[in-house]
Amino acid sequence: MKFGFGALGVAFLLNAGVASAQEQVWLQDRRFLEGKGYQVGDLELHPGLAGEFGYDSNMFHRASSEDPIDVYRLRITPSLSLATAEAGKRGPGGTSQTVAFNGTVGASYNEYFARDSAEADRVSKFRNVGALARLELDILPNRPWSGRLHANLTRTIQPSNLSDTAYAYNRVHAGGGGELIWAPGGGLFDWRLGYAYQTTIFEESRFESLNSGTHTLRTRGRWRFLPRTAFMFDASQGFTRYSNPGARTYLLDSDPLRARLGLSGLITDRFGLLALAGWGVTFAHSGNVPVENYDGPIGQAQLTFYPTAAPDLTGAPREAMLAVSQIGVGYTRDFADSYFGSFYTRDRGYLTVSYFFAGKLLTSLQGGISRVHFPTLYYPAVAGAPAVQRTGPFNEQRYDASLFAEYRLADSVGVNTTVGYEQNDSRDLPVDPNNPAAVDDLSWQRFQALLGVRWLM
Amino acid sequence: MELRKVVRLGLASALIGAGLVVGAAYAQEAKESPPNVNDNATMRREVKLSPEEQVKEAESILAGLDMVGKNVRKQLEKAREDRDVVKALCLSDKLTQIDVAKKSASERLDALRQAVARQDPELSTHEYTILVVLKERGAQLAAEANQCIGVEAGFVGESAVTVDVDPNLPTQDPSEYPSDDTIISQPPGCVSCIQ
Repeated sequence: MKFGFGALGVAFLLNAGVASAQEQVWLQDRRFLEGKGYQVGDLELHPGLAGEFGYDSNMFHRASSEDPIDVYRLRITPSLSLATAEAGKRGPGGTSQTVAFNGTVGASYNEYFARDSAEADRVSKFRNVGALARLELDILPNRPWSGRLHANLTRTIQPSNLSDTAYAYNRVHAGGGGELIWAPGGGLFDWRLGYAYQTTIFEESRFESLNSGTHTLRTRGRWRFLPRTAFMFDASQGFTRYSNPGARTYLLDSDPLRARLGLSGLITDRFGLLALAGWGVTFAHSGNVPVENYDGPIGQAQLTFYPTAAPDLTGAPREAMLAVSQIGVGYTRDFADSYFGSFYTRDRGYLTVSYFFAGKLLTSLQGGISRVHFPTLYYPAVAGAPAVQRTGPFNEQRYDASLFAEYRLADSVGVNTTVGYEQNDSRDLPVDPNNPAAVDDLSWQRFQALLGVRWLM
Repeated sequence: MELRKVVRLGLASALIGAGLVVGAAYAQEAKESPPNVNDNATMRREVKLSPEEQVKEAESILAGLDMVGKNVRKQLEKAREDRDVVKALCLSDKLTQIDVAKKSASERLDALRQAVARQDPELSTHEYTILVVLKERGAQLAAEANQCIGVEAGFVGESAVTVDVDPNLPTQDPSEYPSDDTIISQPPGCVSCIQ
């Protein structure tokens, strides 16, 4: 299917804690992005424009001992979402279209004003434009054999702890892929086989060694033994390669393998359960640091309560499918490539609440606590040289919370506020093998609050 | 005189012979489509019609047979469009029989009109009775045409599943696949930590 709205919701819930509060909630979730829209032939167009102004307490993610710089921030965000009309009305029963697609493009212009006038020039140089684009194309949707193509591109603006634009982590994430879908019997059972490629390219040449690309082969299957409840399975084999790691990086190529099995769907008429459990292995390659592999359980569990039966955002038939009200609590465990070495694991518990009060007040509250575990870290060394330990295994505690609330003055105009808090409790990390006293504090905390106006169609 | 006697006798014999042949023919026609009890009841009711009413009713019977023929012909064309050979053969056979009945009914209607014109109530009643039988035959053929079975009904093809969802359930579909939740690593704030 096209990226289902249920999946969108889950994506939103999962990523909320990962995504920084600097990211606009409505850009991540089409349910919030789109209004009534314009019908142009077979297309639905949903343009939007938002302006926000607010405060950021720690623009450079610095530890409290490293002189955090707080700034005021202006953010202008135009966006456009479009979809084939029939695709927009997809749901149980589906569409008889041959091809259906939906896509979103958006940009985000950021202007910074330092609270301390001494920092004004350095801060203002970080003005920049973030961008995102994503496209999904369904071929022969809801047929026994169908296909799906997808592509995405995101330009992420992220300063490092150095207030110098030459050290900014600005980067582009780009990717795409396809999936072959076999769904006999009206879609109660389906099996999919797909391929995807995702690359990360840093814009500053000094971070060229961090550029990477990942090829992923993936298969997944689902059996809906009830109309809204399914057993499912997914497995993926990735191939992550750093294009130019150099001699001083900690990065290792790897071939991560994941497999999960579980259940997803309604367990009562108001409660939904997502429970997937499985195993993952990193299969890291040798490199500048000793190989360490994660070989353990992975999984995800989420209990979701749907308080209402599909409130309607705008009264339009399409939006009837985009009901937002739900309350979820969950836990997820997974691993990822680490910029410090082989990998890290993350256990995250989270709570999410989204509700559309009386068709006027749209709210989204997300919060989570994560435990991030790093194995023993080593300094890079040439092949054959003895490894020098950097630290023993350690954990970070991360806290995140964000609230987005938008009051709709009219169907197409809303005033909103975004409030976010993030905290990373970590340790001093040695940075020089020849000077044990040279450390960098990985801890930081950040508070943001923005007030804005949004026009959406 | 002798010759006249011979001629009269011959004419009488010919008339008697013709009458026997016609009577036998009528008798055969009645045997080919023996009406059932209900038909008899209908006929008994309808034969009470006046000759003019019989003509009017007979015209209605012919129009009805014509309509039956058109309907079956339409079904036959649809079956041919669908390349359903089995159904087309069946319908073609029924249509042929309906056409025969229609042609016969048309001839009987002419005969009925002539009998009415000659003010021969017995013959008109007889013709009308045959028309009623043809009407019943047309209805029977129409029913049989509707029962013609096509290829798709004779074999089990691809199954279709219909799912009814309780409208009181939430519109969101949690049985969809969760999104790709693979963590995308973020570089740490400190540059010196990774280079």
